[in-house]
Amino acid sequence: MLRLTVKVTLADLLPPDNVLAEAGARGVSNLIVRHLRARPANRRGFPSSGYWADAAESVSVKPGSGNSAAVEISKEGVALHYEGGTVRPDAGGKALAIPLDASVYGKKPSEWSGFRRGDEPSDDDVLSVFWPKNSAHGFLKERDTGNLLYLLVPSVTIRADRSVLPEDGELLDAAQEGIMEAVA
Amino acid sequence: MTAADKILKKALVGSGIDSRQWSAVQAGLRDRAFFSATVEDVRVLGAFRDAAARLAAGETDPSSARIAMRDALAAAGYRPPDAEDQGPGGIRNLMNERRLDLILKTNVQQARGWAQFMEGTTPGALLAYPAQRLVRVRQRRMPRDWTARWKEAGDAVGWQGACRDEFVALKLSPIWIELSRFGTPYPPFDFNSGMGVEDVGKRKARELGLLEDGGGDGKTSSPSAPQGSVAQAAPVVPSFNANLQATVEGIRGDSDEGQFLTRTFGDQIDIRNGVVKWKGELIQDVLAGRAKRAEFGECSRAFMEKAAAGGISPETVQAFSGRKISFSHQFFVEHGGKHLDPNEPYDHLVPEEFELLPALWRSPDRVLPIRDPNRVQAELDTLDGGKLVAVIDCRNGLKSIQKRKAPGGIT
Repeated sequence: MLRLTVKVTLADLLPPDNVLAEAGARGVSNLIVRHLRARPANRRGFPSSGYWADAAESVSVKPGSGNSAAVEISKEGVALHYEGGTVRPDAGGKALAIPLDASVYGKKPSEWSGFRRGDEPSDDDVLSVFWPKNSAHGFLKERDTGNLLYLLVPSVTIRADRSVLPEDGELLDAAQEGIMEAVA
Repeated sequence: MTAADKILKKALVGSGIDSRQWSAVQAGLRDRAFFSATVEDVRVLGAFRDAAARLAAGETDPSSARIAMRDALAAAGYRPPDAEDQGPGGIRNLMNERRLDLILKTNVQQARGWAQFMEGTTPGALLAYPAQRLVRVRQRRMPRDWTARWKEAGDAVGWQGACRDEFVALKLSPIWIELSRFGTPYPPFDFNSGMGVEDVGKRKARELGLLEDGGGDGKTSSPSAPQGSVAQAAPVVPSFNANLQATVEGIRGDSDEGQFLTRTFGDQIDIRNGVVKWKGELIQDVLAGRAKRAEFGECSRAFMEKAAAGGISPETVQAFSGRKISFSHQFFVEHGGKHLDPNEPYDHLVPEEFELLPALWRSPDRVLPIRDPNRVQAELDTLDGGKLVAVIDCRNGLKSIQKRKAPGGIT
């Protein structure tokens, strides 16, 4: 799922009116933008990659029929955070890599030289795999320093986080606020 | 149109000029070009544009986008500059993470800024939220002095529809364009600025004296507002779009500006009847049926040298001198591959690949003889391992264009 969509329908409140639907949807969109911008940075304290600010910038309003509109968030991973789910490696991949160090936060292992899927291991590789026997987890470490940079896991389950979006009541209030501003 | 569509509509423009020189190109042309300072290879720019569009659509993450961009650079045979000040960490190195991030972020943020601006200025959105506030959305270690820039921009536009005391102005105030390094009324207002906007409702806009009581279309301001704090706000949306168009109209090819554009961008730009367009835009127009034909410039020296090196007779090579070619979509839909070997695995081009036609004509990788002595087969390698193959007649121009699949059949 690539996009998270919030549908704003004024059917029970007002007669069909595109202008008021736009105003209401804009109110919802503004609330979602403020909400996403205010979300805390990553829990591990790594320097922020601006993920939620990016998500806020990706918010867009799509006009619907009559007095409805949809607010979409086109940012990878936002729908997954909201709905929850289990992530597994792509076909051909062996493990997911979770960053353990600030220097690799927001950076896939394949961004490192010589560590691409299908590459044969070489002495020039910056990273090397360390997978303890009988362990479900492995590590990617920096070859020179031995620092553990990534945790390797077969899958990751992300719990649904409904706080990604404002609560339903807040969304309704925001739609009403947009309409009230329009008719003020 | 989505932010991703906006990126994909930009014409690929390769050039060796740097960002300072690019800033001398009018906003109207820059807005419609996908470029990166000193990047000349349009195949690389095509891959960069695709990565940026996928990121804007939420279809990929920044790390995967950078990997795709580095793959394109590697496939194009890019070698990072090795001078000390341009080394692995330098911004001039296209493989550098910071440089790739700058390309991605600037393009994605501009496209999203444009999309949000257009959505924020629909009749309903403007009625409810006629103004916006400049706000910090990302922290920066060395923030720019936005107070000084706001005052400078406000003074430059006579504070039309803008507050002196707060970073708030009507969405249609000219202050936003004046504030922007890129000449656009939406964020980003500068490279890596970390600044964005948030809507301000009608009631607050009235309170700030930006609107008359009862006014709400964002185009008027209060005559009873504090002296000098606001002035009549001009409608900027129509004038913004008109301005982008106006900046690229009325330019003659022999004017200083026209000569600068031709000298800098060669046959990538088309100046005709006072209207300036990127060649990539013309190709998109032809593909969409908005124009019948796109014409490309005279045969380049590089093409003729490749033809001579490829074993083409001197007479035929000479016959290409001064020859121009043109492209019409309908012709190639009907006749695309009929001049090529039916035993070879050819495909029709996808729309993005048609934009490589000027590059194939300007700087092909190979020009080879075919059975007809008046015709040559020009080839341009694509970054996916395939190649564009065109048959060109030295008297009648382009006869066909196809894509030869990469070894293994994947294109």
